Parts: sequence; structure tokens; C-alpha cells
Amino acid sequence: MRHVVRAFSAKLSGQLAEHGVSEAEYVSLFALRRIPNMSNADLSRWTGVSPQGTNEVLKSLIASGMVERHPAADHGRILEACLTERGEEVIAACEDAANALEAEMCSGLRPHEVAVFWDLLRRCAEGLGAPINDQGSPPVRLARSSSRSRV
Amino acid sequence: MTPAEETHLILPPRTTYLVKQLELAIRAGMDVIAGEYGVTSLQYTALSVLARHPGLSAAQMAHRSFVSPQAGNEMVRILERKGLITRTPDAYNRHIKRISLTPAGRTVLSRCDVLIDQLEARMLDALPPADVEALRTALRACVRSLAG
Repeated sequence: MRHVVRAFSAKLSGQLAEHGVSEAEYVSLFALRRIPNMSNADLSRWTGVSPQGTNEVLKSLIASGMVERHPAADHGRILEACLTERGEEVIAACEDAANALEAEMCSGLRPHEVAVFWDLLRRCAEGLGAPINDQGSPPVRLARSSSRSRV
Repeated sequence: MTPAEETHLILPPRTTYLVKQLELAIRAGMDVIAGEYGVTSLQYTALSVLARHPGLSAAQMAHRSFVSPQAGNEMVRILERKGLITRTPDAYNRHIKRISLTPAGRTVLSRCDVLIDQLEARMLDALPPADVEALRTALRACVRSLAG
């Protein structure tokens, strides 16, 4: 069983890597697309990666021209990160690829089987004492649609 | 936009996310167990691959252990230094080195196996047998879809 999970997971990582960003970078870009102008600490809280790790990821994303940092409007000493135009393009392509991959992956399952599968995966993680919290959606929306009210 | 559509935009693809999170949890548990015997969970996986397929080359071992060829070479060097594997030249092509477990490697593997079977049992403990079968089937169906 664990071998199947690993094989599956390795396959997913490999396919994401084809888009030229690491998984950690993908998660940060994903977050910054939804909440622009986050400080290192904000981003670290959102992604669950340590502040040091987040700093490394941001440095790498800045070096590859996908993120830029500027002083916060209300607090000059804090640096906030946001996506560059290139960063926007890359994360959009990555998310399209990730969604397509997910659709392909689940193509052999009927919708109700997918729901059962999610439940089984969650129960396995609980059995290991590491419950997955994916139920409460983060209080964010896509940056580009932020003018749309969310009732 | 309906709430469902909007949620879909906000969250990462869920199956992918859940599988990754579960894999991280399994790996963390395996790392603790393997660590007691001085190996990582990836090295443990490689040892179990070698037990089932003795005589693999480093590249074949890497492929079956789900690591890159470079990482596989590095792992072979480390496992050899720890005395858990040996490499012998192939009988027909001396450039190919065939890998097999040493007695020490077999001992580490069998001790880890016992504890990791317990880890798997803990993971599946709350699931009735039919659900375990459903999980296996779903995972296989996903792997098959991705391979096709």
C-alpha cells in the first residue's frame, strides 16, 4: 500500500517539475496569486513552510524573475512579495497543468468514487495521527477577482 | 460564480493534495522507524526493492525506488559505505555493477519491515477490509490513468 502511495506521489511531483518550478515554489506562487503583497511571515503562515524555508523559496523565485519585493505601504521596514507578470504566467500555466493532471488521474473513477477516495485518504492520515485539515477553505479569493464580493 | 466554483479556484486540486499529505505522513513515520536503524525512509525503500529484485543495476534500483538516477547513485554509495549492500561486476559486462544486500542489509530490512508493517496496520486500523480494498483499487486506478 505505502509503495503505491509513494509511486503515485512521485509521479505527481515529476509532472509538476516539468513546469520548471519546485513544489515549494509552486505552493508560494499559488498563495501569492490569491493574496498579493504578503510579507515573509504571512507567506510562511499560509504555506506552513518555516520562515527560513520561505525566505529561500522567495530568493529563488526573485532570482528567476517570478516574484518581486517592495517595502510595505504602511510599514517601510517590512518587505512584501508579489508576482511579476512572468510569475503570473507561470503560476497560471502550472495550475492549468495541475488541474488537468488531477482530471486525468481521476478519469478512471466515478464522481462518488472520488468522494469516497478522499474520505479514505483522510481516514488513513488520521490513523497515523496526522489528520489533514483541508475542510476550512483559507479566507482568500483569486487576486484578480478581488473586486467580486463573496457572499 | 457559484460558491462551489469559487472554492474550486481557491483550493489546490484536492486529490493531489490529499495524496501528497498522506505520503508525507507515511514518510515521516517511516523516517522515524528507519532512523532507528541508521537509514532514511528512501534508503529503506531501496533496500526492500533490492530484496525483491537482487542484482539490479544502480539505475534500475533508482527507477524502482522512485528517485532520480543521480539520487540513486548517491544512495548506492551511502548504502555501500554502511555495509548494507555490495556491488559485483556483471558476469558478461564488467561495466555493469549488480547490487545485492549484505547480511547486515537483510537484518536492517527485516527489523524495519516489522515496525513498518505495524505503521501500515495503524494507518488502516480504522478502515473495514472492504474500505482498504476500495482504497487500493482507487489508488491503482489513478496510477493507471496517469501511466496511460
